[in-house]
Amino acid sequence: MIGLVRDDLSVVELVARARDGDQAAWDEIVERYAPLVWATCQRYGLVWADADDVGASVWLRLVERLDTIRQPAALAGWLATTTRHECLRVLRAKNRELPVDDNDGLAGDPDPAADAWLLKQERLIALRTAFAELPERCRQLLALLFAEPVTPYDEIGAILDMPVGTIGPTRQRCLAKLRTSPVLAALVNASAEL
Amino acid sequence: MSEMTNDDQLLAELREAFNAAEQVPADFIAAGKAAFAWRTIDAELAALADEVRGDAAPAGTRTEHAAVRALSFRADGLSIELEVTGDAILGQIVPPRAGQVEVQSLSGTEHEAAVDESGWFAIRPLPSRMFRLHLRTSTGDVVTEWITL
Repeated sequence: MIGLVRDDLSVVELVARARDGDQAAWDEIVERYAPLVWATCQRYGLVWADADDVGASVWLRLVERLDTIRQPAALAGWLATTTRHECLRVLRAKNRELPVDDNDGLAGDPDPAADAWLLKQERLIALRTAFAELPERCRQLLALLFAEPVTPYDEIGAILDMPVGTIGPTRQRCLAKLRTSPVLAALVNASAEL
Repeated sequence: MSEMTNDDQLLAELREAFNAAEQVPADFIAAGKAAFAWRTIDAELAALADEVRGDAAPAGTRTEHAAVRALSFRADGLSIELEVTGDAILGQIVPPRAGQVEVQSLSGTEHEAAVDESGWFAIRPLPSRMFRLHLRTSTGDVVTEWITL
């Protein structure tokens, strides 16, 4: 587990609002981090009912811990660890031969591949969050630009009603805006400190 | 030119980020949102402090259906000791006090049992799904962490 505390104010704020009983803030937390929980389940080969079981446990544990989580900014790490524990619990129930000791290679998780994987997941979360904060025009254009299969510029121009010649510069401007988003910048700074 | 490459990379990352999010089933997200209904603010959380599994015993020392598991939950000034047998949960409140214990599952209150003067209670049958115990005593409410047997 990486002991990083990110200066991610928005998640700190979301946790604070959820503590006050704000369902919308909680929903936002779930929307933001469900892909991390889901990807962790997939990493352990859990699908369908097993993944649902893990997901339910993880979110219930977060609900009961909301008031006592000391570092809300490190929520991604907490969720990844908790999900790992729950995945192993489910796997253990299916296969009694797995070791019972939870602390073995888990609490500290010295696996560098797991750390790199989590960093990557946090980057994807930050990218989605930063993207959501872009102006609508940027979101529309970038969504068309990263969609597969590739949409030709003249089609994009027609869809968004913008001159083809402005697509390139707008794309550059929107991506620059994304890159300087505080959410993403916080992550980059945290990684640089590693 | 290198700026272009960086932009292409960023777009590729965005694609990956959104593809990953799209794979998450809507039900999975909905269940996560619904979990908020289980927020309890009027009861103190009793965290799992210790757990002993009967199936850690040497092979041959137990029968298939008698796996015993002991769980110990601790709150401020109170602990809830549970012993899970083949067909029941036997509980002891320490220090002893009388009250009422409720078995809560995701679908609601499943079961209620009385806690006697010596702090003892029994829950039958075993909850089949994830559950928690909500203990009500004259000195306040305590709720355990969620438990899966």
